[in-house]
Amino acid sequence: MNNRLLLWQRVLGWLALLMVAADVYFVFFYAPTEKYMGDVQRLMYYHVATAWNAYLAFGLVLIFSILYLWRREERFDHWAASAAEVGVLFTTLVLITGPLWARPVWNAWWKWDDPRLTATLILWLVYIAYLILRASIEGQRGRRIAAVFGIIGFVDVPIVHFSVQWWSSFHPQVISSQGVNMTGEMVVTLVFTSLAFMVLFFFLLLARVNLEKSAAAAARLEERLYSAD
Amino acid sequence: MTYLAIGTLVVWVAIFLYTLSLASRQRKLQQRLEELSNALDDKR
Amino acid sequence: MGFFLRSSLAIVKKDLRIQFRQKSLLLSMIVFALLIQVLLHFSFQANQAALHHVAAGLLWLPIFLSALLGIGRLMAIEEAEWNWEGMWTAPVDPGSIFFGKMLGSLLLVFLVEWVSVPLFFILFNPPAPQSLPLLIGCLLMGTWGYVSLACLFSVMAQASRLGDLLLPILLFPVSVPLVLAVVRLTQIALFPTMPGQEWVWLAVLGAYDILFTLLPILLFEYLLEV
Repeated sequence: MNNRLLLWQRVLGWLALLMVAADVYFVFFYAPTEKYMGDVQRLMYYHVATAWNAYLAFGLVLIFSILYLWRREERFDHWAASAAEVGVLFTTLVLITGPLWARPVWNAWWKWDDPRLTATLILWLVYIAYLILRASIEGQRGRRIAAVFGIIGFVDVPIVHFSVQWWSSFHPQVISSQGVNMTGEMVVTLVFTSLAFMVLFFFLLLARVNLEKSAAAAARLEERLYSAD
Repeated sequence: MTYLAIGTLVVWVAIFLYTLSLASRQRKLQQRLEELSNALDDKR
Repeated sequence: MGFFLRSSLAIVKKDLRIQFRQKSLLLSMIVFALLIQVLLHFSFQANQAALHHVAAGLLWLPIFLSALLGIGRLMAIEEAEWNWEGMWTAPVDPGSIFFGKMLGSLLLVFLVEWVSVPLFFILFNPPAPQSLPLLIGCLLMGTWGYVSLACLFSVMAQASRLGDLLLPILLFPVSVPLVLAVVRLTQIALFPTMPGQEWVWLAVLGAYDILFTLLPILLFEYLLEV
């Protein structure tokens, strides 16, 4: 089982590297310069691709949290914890590329009126809370509690989106693909970048899961070592 | 440096650093696993 | 269903008996809310013009913060006496234990609001509310959702090294939709602005309350497990 995961990790790692390299061509050369925003708009590809994959990550946290509570198999918990960590990484990137794209376009780093950016901030805070929760409770109880929060957190996500949207509905200034004049090449670039980041995401996820498994194996060996006295 | 350059750089550096961190943690754990299994073998 | 409610009410009765005998927790929560209001008054120096923008916050912050601390203490009582293990072995639906704790906490927070809301009107002198029913409904529904999640997360926080500090870290991000809803609704209830918006926000609050009461009830057994 472990070897199969390691194999997949290696395969995905190389595939990710290839696709990301190819993606550079798409993002910086194939895609045309946007009419009104200029070259900085190219950040959108990374911004949106990491955002979609972050949602994928947190969806996986939900699924594995439910599976863990249902089946109590430790491996499900490894997947949940790993997905959350990589998800937070990607969400952090969304929150960095967003303002960097926004500054030259709007002349402001942050606008609370932008529902997407605000919702992403809340999402980030929810899963940072998840990681803090995980880090501060040990053992079986910690895993169970984290799983409960993993479920509540993801159920909250659509509600956050909807309410933040309504909150800012008077000043719609969306920094997203909706503000951009999307040509065919841009769509292709966006899709390819998203796929590249998805492969990258699964590579990182597997690497993190394998790390969890190794840590769990070490903990088991330690127990055997120190209890057999 | 343009915002585009900074943004792109941040994305790639962050992912690269995270990958490196995972690799180094994995290496240390492998070492630990070897130590532990040797210690267990010695006990027998 | 009847049994579920009866078990919950048994817990509510127990909690209320303790709280009204001791009174110290309830009184402290009320005093805390009052202190926050005074602090906010000095921090914001809200004149009548600015009041329009900050009134909702001035009304709700004392409630949110006082509930946060109070519910932390309320749940800690059980942890200290190993009551969770006792309740876990009782032949009742674990969800009813949660619901009982939640209703008890809700009643206490309502009592705090009975003091803090009139105090808000006295200290900050807003104009008479446009719609009192809306304000009351908003207070009821907003407090319900907030308290429910605070109770759930408080149990989680008690189990952690960080203790009570973890509660706001877990609660605040997840409660953002509720905060948005109650702020908008409070603004509409207090001032003549944005007509017609209230139905969306009431729907958001309603959905939020139902969802985040049912989910904790369903999931509570996993927290109780030893």
